[in-house]
Amino acid sequence: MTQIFKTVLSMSLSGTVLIAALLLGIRLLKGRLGRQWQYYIWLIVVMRLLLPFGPEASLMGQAHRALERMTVQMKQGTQGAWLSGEDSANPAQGVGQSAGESIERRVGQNAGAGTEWSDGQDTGQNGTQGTVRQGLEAVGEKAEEPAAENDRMMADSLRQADGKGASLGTGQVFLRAAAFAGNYLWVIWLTAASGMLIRKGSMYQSYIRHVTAGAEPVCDTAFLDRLAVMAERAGIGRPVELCVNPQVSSPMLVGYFHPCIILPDADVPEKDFQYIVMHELTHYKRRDIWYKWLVQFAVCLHWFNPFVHLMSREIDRACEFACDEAVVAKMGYGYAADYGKTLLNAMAAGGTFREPLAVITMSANKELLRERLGAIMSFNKKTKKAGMITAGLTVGIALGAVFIGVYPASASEPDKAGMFVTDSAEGTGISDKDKAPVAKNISETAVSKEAAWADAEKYYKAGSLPQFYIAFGELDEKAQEKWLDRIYADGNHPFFSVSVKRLDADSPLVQTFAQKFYEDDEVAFFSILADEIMSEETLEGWLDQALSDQKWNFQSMLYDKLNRDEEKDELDKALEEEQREAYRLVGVTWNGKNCYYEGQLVNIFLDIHMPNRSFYTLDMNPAGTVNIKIIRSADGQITGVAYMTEAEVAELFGDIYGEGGEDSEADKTETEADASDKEFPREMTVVMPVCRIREGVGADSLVVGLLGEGETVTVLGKKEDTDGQIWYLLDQESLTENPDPSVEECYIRGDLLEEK
Amino acid sequence: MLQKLSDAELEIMKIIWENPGEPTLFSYLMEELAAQGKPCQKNTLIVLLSRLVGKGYLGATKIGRHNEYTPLISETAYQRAQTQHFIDKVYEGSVKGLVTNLIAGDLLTEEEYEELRALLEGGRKG
Repeated sequence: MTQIFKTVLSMSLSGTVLIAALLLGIRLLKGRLGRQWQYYIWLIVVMRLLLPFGPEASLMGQAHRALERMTVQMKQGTQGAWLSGEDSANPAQGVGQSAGESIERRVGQNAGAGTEWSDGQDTGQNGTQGTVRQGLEAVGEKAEEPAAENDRMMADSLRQADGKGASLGTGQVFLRAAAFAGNYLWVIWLTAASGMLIRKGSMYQSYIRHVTAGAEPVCDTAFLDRLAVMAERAGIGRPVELCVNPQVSSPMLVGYFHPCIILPDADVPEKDFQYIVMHELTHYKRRDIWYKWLVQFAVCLHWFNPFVHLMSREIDRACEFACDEAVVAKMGYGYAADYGKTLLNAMAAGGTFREPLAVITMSANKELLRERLGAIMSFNKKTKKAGMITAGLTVGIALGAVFIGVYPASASEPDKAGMFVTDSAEGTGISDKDKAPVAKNISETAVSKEAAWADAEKYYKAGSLPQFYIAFGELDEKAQEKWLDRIYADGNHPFFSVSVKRLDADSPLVQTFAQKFYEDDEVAFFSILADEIMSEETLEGWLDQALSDQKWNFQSMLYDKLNRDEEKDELDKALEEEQREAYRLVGVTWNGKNCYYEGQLVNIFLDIHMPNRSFYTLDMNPAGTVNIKIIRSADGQITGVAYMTEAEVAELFGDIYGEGGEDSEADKTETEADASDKEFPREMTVVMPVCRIREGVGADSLVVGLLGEGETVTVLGKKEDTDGQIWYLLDQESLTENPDPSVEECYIRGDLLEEK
Repeated sequence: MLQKLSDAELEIMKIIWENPGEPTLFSYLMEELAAQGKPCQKNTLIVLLSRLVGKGYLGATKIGRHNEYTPLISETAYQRAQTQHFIDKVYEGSVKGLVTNLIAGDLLTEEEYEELRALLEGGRKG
């Protein structure tokens, strides 16, 4: 049994080396490794932890031998320390101390005590160096004592400790106690391991029983049909059952051979249902439950090794990431945002059950969910280079797993795992390899921040709100402030609105920007802050300020946000009265809803209160005949009235549609721009009978060829000429008649092509 | 006490009960459902059938790669159980209440009424 235990210890140690190497590798190459790979690579490590096979010339074997030599040399040095008067005749205490000791020292104790720990004897037999002999002489009499006489040894220890009280005696006592404990450590290990295994198994079983007992089968055949379609898409041959149990906290799949999806609620929109089912089926298809149990088995076996627990957590995460990626790949990358929303909904649904380990749920963990959302949005196909790196790392880990190997009788003990790099792997090259990444790792945070900035930049330019939302959250406060400044300067309301969602209500940034907007009279921006993030108390504070500063526009907006409708109406009425009084002074009169100027009914009445147009009054009356605008001086005082020209009217409406706070409109133009920016190359069709292909863009470019209606071309990019006309760059390979080979770039006017 | 059937399950049971050539094959069920204008996916039917097996309504024998289904509960037994359930629930166990309602509500034709009467009297005699 001791032998098996020792094998486990050695597997644990070699597993630890692999885990540490892999964790570092993944951290360093984050984003460049495929999510699937990050998940399945752990399988090698798990196998290393579970299978006690390896070649003779394994690293563990060498490390072990190196350790032996070291041990014997060390022993002399440490002997002094033992002689310092530590008195420990209590075996339990001995265990504790032994656990705290370094590997070398403990091995030294074993050797000294001369118990059946084989390496101790090996050392004695093989050692030819002087130090060895000295070491053996120093503890000579102990080495002769058979291990079986533990009781006698204990008594002997006590006697020695009491009787002699000498330094050598205490040393002996300690050695024997440790040896005694060492001999029976495996009992503790086995008890804990089997206990954990049984507990996990029974917890899982009873949980599944509980969940399935309370589950109602879904009778709606429409749902079952949809499930069937998805199962076929996922490539699952077995029939999949569908149940509802309102007590589960998120959708899950149970059953190894008879899969059953359990939803917290049958009342899910079709789209969500599809994603949920696809997610769960993907887990099933990939046998994730089996994988998880394999990991759990390793965890039970190596319960004393914190690295194995770390690995288990890492695998759980990787599992969800990999599954998400597979789902997004299957459903199409364009649906990533939808899928993310479904995840959020699944989270919000929430039940009361707590899942034990190894249950496959859709979204059990909030923190992880946040990260998953980010990852989903950034999934993309892997580059060749990434493929090479991945392949290289795979081979490395696999070879590592084989050659680190297991030394069946190794005395190494993994709860000292923290020291493995400096202790056991010395001279093997592993320590150097691992130390370098540690140093790099420190600078990694800085790198990731730069990456987040670059992401934000990219998504801002692409006009992608959801992605910007994610990237913005990764930035630190300083960077966020810079971004908010920039967005404000650009007057980009939608982006400002998504950004502030990532801020804390009590963040100083909110305060700073609120102050800024207030001073700049930027009601629109201020109202975003008010909507998204400010608490009622803060708003009340601002209202008091606005009241004392007589800022009517802010008062009105704040009353609105605080739902104080009556006060708002009153204020609006008072303001209107005041305004109309002011208008009357310049000759504009109001009669109820109708506005008159110089005796004529007014069609469009425009008063831009602020030079930056953030606050204006616009009144339209279709029955009116004249269009007028109020003229104000730079400080906002009304100075006169003027008729509006047609150009002004046209500009006004263009302006309103362009940025008038109508989010949907703004969003739409943005997505359009987004689409036309992103998706090159793409296939487009010629829509006019005879179209000229030109070298260069603009009016004075040369005609180099012709295209007919219905022809399909590949567009590589686009360009805008000085007149604002869009031109598409054509792929010459895609043209039926290639233009003159001397032509480098040929374009076609943007309005002549349409999406295929 | 028989377990309740969902609408879709009952639909399948009806097809199996009415199938002259027992036992019923999976493909036959698919065809019949489609013929009735209620086509469903393969997995859906498999799931529903396995639920019926689980509830004890059907027996399944694996022949080759296909299952053959035989009803373990006859239609009459099902109807009787359902009626009993209905009477218990709506008429609090009173059959008389049900019959009174059938007659008073004019839900029986003259013919049916006579038939039932004959049945009643025959039952009493025997």
